[in-house]
Amino acid sequence: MGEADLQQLVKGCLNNDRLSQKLLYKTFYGFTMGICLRYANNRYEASEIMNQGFFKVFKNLERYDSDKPFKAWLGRIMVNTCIDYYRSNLKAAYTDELEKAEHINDTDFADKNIKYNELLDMIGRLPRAYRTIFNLFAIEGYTHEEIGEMLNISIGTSKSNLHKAREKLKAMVLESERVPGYISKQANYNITPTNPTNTPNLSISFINQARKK
Amino acid sequence: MKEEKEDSIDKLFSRGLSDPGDNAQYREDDWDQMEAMLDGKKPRRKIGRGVIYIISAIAAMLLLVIGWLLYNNTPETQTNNTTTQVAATKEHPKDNSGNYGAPARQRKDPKSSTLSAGNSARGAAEMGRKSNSFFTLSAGKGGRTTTGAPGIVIPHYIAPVNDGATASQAGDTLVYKAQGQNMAVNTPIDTVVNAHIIQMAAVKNADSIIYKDKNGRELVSVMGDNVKPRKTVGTAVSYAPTFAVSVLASPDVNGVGGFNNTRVGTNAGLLFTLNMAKWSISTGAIYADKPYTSSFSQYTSSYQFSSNPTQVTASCTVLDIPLNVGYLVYHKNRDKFSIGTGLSSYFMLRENYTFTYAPNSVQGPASYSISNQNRHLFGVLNLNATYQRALSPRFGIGVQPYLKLPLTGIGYGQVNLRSAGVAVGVTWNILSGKTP
Repeated sequence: MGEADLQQLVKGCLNNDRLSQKLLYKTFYGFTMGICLRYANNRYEASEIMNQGFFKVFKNLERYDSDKPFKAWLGRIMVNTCIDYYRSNLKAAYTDELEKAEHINDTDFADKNIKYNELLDMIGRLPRAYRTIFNLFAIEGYTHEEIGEMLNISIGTSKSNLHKAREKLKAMVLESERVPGYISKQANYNITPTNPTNTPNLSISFINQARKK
Repeated sequence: MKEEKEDSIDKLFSRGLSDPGDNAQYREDDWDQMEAMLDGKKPRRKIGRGVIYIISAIAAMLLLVIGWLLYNNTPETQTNNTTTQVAATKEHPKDNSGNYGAPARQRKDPKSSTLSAGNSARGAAEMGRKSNSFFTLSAGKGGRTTTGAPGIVIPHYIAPVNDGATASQAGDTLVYKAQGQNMAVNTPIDTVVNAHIIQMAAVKNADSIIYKDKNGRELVSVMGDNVKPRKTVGTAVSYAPTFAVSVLASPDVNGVGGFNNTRVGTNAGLLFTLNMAKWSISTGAIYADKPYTSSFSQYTSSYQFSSNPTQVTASCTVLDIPLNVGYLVYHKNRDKFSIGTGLSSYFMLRENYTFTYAPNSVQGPASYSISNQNRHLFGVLNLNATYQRALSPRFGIGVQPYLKLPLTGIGYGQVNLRSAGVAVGVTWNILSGKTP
């Protein structure tokens, strides 16, 4: 979508034009859902947060400075909505504070080839506090000072939670390498594709992959 | 800080999660929710999220409260006609107490000959008519002939010495059998006894206290007759364990994560229930067909799809072995309300998964089937409320709304498969508490 088209859409949204709103929503759905999925426990929760974020966007669109990139503004609103959601579900969020994180020897994790789904699953299995801080620091790029302010926690808490989040994630990554397909702990099942004629090669690779495990 | 920023695990996740791809594919449902919010309607999902828990909690609370209120308002209703008889006998001694001082009390004796007068011993008279072993003389209102002084009530005349002994020994029996019918009789039958016709030996053997009234007449009171509460009439019967078999069938809705996108399944099975007073334990086997549709993000697979499906449609047959406890919150006449909870074990007999892909994406495998691979021992939480109506002492029908919430991922896809439905069934009381 070109800049002009985007500005046109924003203009339509400012006039509360429902079609423009839907088009804007559809255009940035993938981007915003991608953010929310990282913070939420599941897809269902993610879409709830995303809609809350879009609601803020539509209601506060006049505050948007059209000289600045819209996507960045939208992204910030989504992250803030995720944090609001996190705050509203803060119950016992830091109960793991005293938990000791085992230090895992540094391996180069950056080059590992792990699919989006698995990474999302791993991050989703972190306690919500760890997940939020890890997201904000490692993916969004906020500093501990900023995170402390956003979440109303001390810098030390932010650092220690980040450390624990990393250690947990490292352990999950190593585990996933040690036990392939450990997420579902399901392997060696017989695959019976019903339409092998449509996608013969893919079906075969599916079988092979399952057998390897 | 610098060191932290350079942490390679951060890079792995920030790069790997930068493009959600098909996982964040547009869904019209989400826009519908969005539109509802924009229209000023409350977002359905926000309410719907915990709605099942809230509704079930409210339903359980309501059942408890209603049950408790109704139960407390009708404390005598559990007992049968015998209670009425007891109430009638109670009145009579009071009428006579002015003339004869404190009424002598005596245990009911099933084997002794009985003299009854008016309403005071209608229960006994009733029994006398039904049992050959009773010798009954009745007097008073019923136009029956009377013996002894007018106004003196002798419902239980302990005449022969031997019979008197039998009377005291058998006195503990609360439930009588007469001509094949069960009759529960209250322990103390208030009577006034003419001391002149009671022999000392008989009284002694009957574990009784003899005392004299103002006029020098001897009155007899059987030891311990006040100790046993009247409630024993009802409880002696209802607290006996009973065993029942139920055949159940139910339609239910199955949804992953919530009940926004549901499909209807069917269940049928057999349940065995052991009732102990207000508590019950039940188990059995239910064969269930559980179809559901789930987005791929809620589905877990070890297989690396080259292009992730958008949706997974599943059809699973499950053997559900529940182990539930129930509590009877309301019981009046033929109607019973109870609430229950417990755990179910799911044995996945057959799992068929069909994958749907986005129109323009690479088409991966279309389906996946496995049999007898997954079992989830006590992996599902059951919540239910049951209404039962007795058609006869042996048979009853029941309706049971229920909710099944998984405590673990169900099936190969490890999905959060929830089920809600209403079971209807027929219950057969094999071992009735009324026939010990």
